[in-house]
Amino acid sequence: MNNFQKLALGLSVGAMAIGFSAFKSSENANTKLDRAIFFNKSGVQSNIASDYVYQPDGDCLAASTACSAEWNYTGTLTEGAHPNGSKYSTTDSQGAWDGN
Amino acid sequence: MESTIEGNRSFRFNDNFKEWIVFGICLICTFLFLFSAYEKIIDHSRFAKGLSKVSIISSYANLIAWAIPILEILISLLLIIPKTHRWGLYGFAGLMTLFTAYILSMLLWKEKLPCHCNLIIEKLSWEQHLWFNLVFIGLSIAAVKLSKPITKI
Repeated sequence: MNNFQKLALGLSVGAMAIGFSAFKSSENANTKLDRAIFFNKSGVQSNIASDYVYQPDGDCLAASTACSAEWNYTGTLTEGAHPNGSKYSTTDSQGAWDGN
Repeated sequence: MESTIEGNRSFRFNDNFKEWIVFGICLICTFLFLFSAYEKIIDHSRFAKGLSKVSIISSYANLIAWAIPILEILISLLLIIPKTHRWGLYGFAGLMTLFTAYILSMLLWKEKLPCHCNLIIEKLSWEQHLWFNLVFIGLSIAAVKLSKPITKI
């Protein structure tokens, strides 16, 4: 394989990376209206909506407990609200919610 | 004579194989950096906001939020161009080492961990993220070693 072919293949991979990233970004943007990250109050993974709260500026501190998960919801989200839809994430991301 | 030719053939095959390995690693690294850079630019405000929460770098958050994706794009270009791919590998290993040191310091000092990982690794925990970075650093170092010209004594 000569340098020109390598360059062409490299550019193709670059274009694929950007295309794939754009596709994933738009996919996320389309789901923003009915899916959001909710923080786990208890630190134990569950499927109970009241264990999770919405906090726009929430964050996860370093820890190995259950911290946040994506939930579906309908209506307008306000700080402190619980999800009113089904849980989307299969596993919670790890950490400790800084709102606790 | 035959053995010399066979020896030469074998030597050339190894060389080609190494070249393919190095090229493959360059492509993987390019994909990772371009994917990540695009997302950091498109979702720039979220990325900058996350960086501003880290006390040490908060005052330079906006600058860093632009510098990182730009560096990732420049390194990707170096990786794509065959004549500069070694410089790209050095750059890739350097930047990944910086990211890894940042994650490690956050884990050690229990600071807030504002994750702005790209979508490939968003499901990973911070420890897994650390290992992910280490594997890529290892790959890039291996590629640098493999791409070294063989010096005859």
